[in-house]
Amino acid sequence: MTCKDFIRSLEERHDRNLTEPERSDMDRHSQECASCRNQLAMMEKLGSFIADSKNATPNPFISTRILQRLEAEFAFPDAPKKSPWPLLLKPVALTLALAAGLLIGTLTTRPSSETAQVENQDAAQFDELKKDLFIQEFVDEDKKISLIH
Amino acid sequence: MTEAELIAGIKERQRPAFQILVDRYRDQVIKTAFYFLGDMADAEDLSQEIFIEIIQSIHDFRQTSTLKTWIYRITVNKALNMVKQRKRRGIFFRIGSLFHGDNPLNTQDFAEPVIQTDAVEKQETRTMIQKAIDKLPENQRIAFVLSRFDDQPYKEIAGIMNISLPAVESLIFRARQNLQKQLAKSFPEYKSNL
Repeated sequence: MTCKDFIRSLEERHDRNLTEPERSDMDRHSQECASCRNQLAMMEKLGSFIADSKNATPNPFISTRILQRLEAEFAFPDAPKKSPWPLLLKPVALTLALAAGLLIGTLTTRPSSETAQVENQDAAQFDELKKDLFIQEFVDEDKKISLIH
Repeated sequence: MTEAELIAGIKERQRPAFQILVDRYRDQVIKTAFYFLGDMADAEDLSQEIFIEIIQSIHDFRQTSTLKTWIYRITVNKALNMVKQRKRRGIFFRIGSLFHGDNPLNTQDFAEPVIQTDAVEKQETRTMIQKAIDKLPENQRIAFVLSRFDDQPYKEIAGIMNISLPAVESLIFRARQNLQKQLAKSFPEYKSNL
């Protein structure tokens, strides 16, 4: 086997299975020729690189990532649509609750003018009472003086 | 689901059709992209762009080839574009580094001595082989990668590349010869006298 034959066989062995005589010829030639032995070693390095590349596996969650990206990129007409009601109901319910609170507050408390009126009445009654007591005290004192005399 | 039904589903933007498309072609797309890029994370990122491109261009698919062949074409084009972008980015990065005075080429001089382990040596060999493959002319690289890495028959490669069968054979033959020359430069210890 010549060096040219060796290189041709080296190239062809990826496309077809070499025959037994061809393989033994290659073995014999590579033992005798350093240059072809180097070529073989280099091609084996390449073969090992290719085998390693074939064994590489992608991330197991890659499908999910791809689909998420597609969902973000395209609108799916058959995708279940979310009802807008829960979103609209929230502010409506909040407004209603606020209104109810205001109404209850208004009904349970007196208006300020009415409160002032009651307060004035109470003060007048207290003044009357104080006046009565003062007169009573004055009368009692008067009685005491008349008794002494 | 047949191929025609799948195509119709994709055209109508149906979610189940997208799911089937991804399940059926995910491995093909990611692995082919990885063989061109040499980096799995990059291949995974690119696969998302490839599926978007498939869906966006499905109306242009005239069904003169199989869906698989058409997806191969998109994958190869996108992967080669990414390789070019990376090369451009690499050049800009090197220029930028020179202006900022932190030339990455010089950092090796000050680096601590590294103990050469098998893993490091293997990684270096991988990088050298990947660089040698990247240096092949584009058509030779496509034919070689699809044949040797992706195990695609010559007929399929001819369909993907839109060329004749003898043209594929010729490209692969020349790719092997060029690769041997490139590898001989990268690994002088294996330099042949041929």
